[in-house]
Parts: sequence; C-alpha cells; structure tokens
Amino acid sequence: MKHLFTISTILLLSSFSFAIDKDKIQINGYVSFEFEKQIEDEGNGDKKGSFDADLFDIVMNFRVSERLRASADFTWEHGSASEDERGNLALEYGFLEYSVRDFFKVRFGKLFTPFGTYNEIHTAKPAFLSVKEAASTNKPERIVGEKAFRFFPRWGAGIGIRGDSYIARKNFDYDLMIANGEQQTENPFEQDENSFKSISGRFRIDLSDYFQIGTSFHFDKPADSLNQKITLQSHGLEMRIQSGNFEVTSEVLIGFRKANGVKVRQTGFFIEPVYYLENGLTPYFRFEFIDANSKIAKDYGTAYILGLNYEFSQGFMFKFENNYIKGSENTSLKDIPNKSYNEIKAAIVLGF
Amino acid sequence: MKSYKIKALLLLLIFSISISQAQTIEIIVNGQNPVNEISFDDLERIYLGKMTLWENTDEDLTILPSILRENSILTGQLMFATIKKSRSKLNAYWRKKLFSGAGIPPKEFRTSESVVNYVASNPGAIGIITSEAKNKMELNVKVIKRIRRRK
Repeated sequence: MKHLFTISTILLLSSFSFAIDKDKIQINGYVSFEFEKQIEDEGNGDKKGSFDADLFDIVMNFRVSERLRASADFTWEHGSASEDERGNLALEYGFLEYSVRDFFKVRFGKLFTPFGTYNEIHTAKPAFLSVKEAASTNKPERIVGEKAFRFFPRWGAGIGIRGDSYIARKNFDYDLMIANGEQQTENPFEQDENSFKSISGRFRIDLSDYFQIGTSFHFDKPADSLNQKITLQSHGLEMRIQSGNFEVTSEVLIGFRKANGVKVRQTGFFIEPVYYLENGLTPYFRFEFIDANSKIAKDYGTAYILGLNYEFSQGFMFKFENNYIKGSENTSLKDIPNKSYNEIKAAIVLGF
Repeated sequence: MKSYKIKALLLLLIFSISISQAQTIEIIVNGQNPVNEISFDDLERIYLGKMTLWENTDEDLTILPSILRENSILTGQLMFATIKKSRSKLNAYWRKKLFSGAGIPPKEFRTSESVVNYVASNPGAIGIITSEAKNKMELNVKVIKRIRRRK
C-alpha cells in the first residue's frame, strides 16, 4: 500500500523538482564516428563514400532517493544543427523508475521498446561489436527495401514494469510496456490517435552460466492516416551461448501486419558467432535473413557481415567490416544485374 | 650476467606468487548495514545489477557496489573469484545495461583504500578489496565474506 501511494504520488507530482546531491548523479555517454563506402557502382549503399559524425550521446542517471531513479539519454546524431535542419537531436529515453522490489520496478516516460537483443542498444555503438545493429530484426528495409515493415517501434511513451529475480538459482529478467504505439500524424510521445495501447514485453532466463534464452512480443493497432484498420503482432526468440572466448547470439522474429483484411507475414533472422581473442581483438561474423512477405515469392534478402573489432582500452574501440547484401528478384535490388553489392564500414567508438 | 638477471626475475616471480597466494579477498559493507554475511549468488547478482536493494534492512537502502578500476591482473582475479566473469566481459555486460537504461554500473576506484573509504561513508555501499587494504577495521566498515584468492 505504501508503494502504491508512492507511485501514485510520483504520477501526480511528476513536475515537482528536486535538488540532487552531486554524488547522486552519474554521467556516462558515447561517441561514434563512421565511414561507409559501397564497392560496386550499383546497390543501395553509400556509393560516394561518406564520413559520418554519427553520434554524441550523454546518459544521465539521478538517484533521487533510495528507490527512485531518473534516467535520460540525449543523442546528437549526424552533427545536429537545428538552424540548418540537419542531423537529429533526440531524447532516446527519459523516465522515472521506482523500485518496489528488484522483481518489480515501475517506469514512467519515454522508453525503449523492450524487444529482442538490439533495440535498447541500437544507438549505443560501444555496446555491440559490429558497426550497425542487425538490420534483419531491427531495420529490415535496409536489406529488402521499403516493402518490409518494422517488427516494433523503437520507442514508446507509457508505463513499463520490469524486474530481476531467480527460480531454482537461475536468474531471469522481464520487461512489460504499455504505450501509445505508432502514430501517423500525432507525436506518439504526446498524444494517441486511437484508444488502443500497444503492449510489448520480453522474458529472458539464464539456463546456465553459458546459455541464455529469451522471448519477446509486441502487439499494436497502429492508427493510419487512411483510416485503415491495421494490426501489428510480432514475436521474437533469442538465445546466447558462451563457451570460453567463443560466443554465439541468434534471434528469430515473426511479424504479422494486417491492413483492411490483408495479412502479411514477415520473418527476420540472424546468427552471430564471435571469438574474443586475448589482446582485445574480436573477429565477428553475422548472417542475416529477411523475408518481407511469405506470400510473395523471391522477395527475401540476405546479409553476410564479416568484421573485426579492436578494443584498444576500456570502451575505446575500432571496428571494420564488410557487408555483403544479396537480394532476390522482388526486393528493391531487382534492377541490379547480379542482385548483390558490398559495402565496407568502419567506426571509431568511445564509451565512457 | 644474463643468467643472473633471469634467476633474479624467476626469484621475484616465485616471491610474488607466494605473496599472492597468501592474499585474501574480502567483501566489505558499511558498519551500519545489518547484513553480516552474503552468498556467492547474491554477490554475483549485486555486481550484475540484478539485486539493487538491501531488502532485509529496516529502512530503504540502495545497494551501491564498488570495484577497483581495470588496471591490474589483481582486479581481474578479484572479479573472477567473486562473480565468475572476466573484467572485460563485465565491462561489456555493463555497457549494454547502462546504455539501455537498465541500471547504473559499480563505482570504480583506483585503490582498495579508496573502496574502503567509499564503503565507510555510504550506508548502502559494498566493496571487494584485498586483505592488505590498510586501516579498514578502524573505519566504519565490516567484512561480510572472506575468499581465498585462487592460485
């Protein structure tokens, strides 16, 4: 009852300001600088070759009280300059979290959609080995073009519940989020176009010190400017195996998008084996597959990413990789004679 | 001359190993914390950010884990002996957790003495130190677990 009262008070007095001791503030962040160049003349990559002032990001945590934390992640992307309408300045997340218990924490604000392996770290380049997150499960249009749909939105404004606990000495964590969902005209972090709220969730468990599995879901009835009746339903299954310096991460997603009675099934999959060498070098490989519509023949695409990550010192790393993208007859690569292209990508990244 | 240098180095190495074998890892908390012992499972959960509250205390108390910076083999051995993760894997783990908004990583210090001072001045703090950390018993801290360092 005490916790219920506290949560209600937080909701009602969310504009109340606190003076916070500097010892209760922690500031972290990351910077990433990238270069991309497509090798062939034809393809969907960067044909000219470009430097990209990719990200400058600040993460702030305020320990307001023993149970209350305020957290925010500010991103300046692609050299943001609002006067010239260039780049992107964004609040990636900004929320209050109240810990009732470790297995029950409540969040209010703008949150990352808790889905799969990559979404909550998709801008945080120091948090994963490759230059970009897996496209097959996060940005499928990068492989097969605009025919593909996103399995879930990046963010949501709403209420989240999360927690950590254990069963029979096996740790698990869960996330549940109720949010406005995707919008066509309104700011989804301010106003909902319809009364239906999107629901997302994830459950992960460490079956052993070396084997973790998880499952995610997202369900929404997105509003559409053409007043179409749309439903989006996605399910994901992820797993991670570690053995010594060897690690394999894999994920498979199935999404169903129904608009005016027409249902489309989309499947995305990746598997990523890596080997951590002792000197900070980590070679990695990722195979990705995306089938944009199960009813249309030959609209699938694949990506083969081979790269090397070198961590000079804690959080400071260099990444270099080749992306081999191969489409089929009905993807956006249909006009390319051999239906494939290579693109090299490199990045200097610092997490602090 | 060269053989003397090699022998001297070998002697130094043996001496270092024998000293290190005598070391003990100690888990310390603030003297006001009613907790008197801790299991390996809970210790692992604390340093992985899965356990963030001292739930057996009368008042609300956030767990504030602290560790030594990644600047020595000793640091790595401390972490591996207590939470079964190398320091680099622990860093990678926390980068994901921190940037996704899931939690705040352990506070880092250069010396065991700094860890002791931090634990002494924060009621919810917990630290992993070597038994050589000086004057700890004179401060407001208590040892809740001792671990023989792995050979």
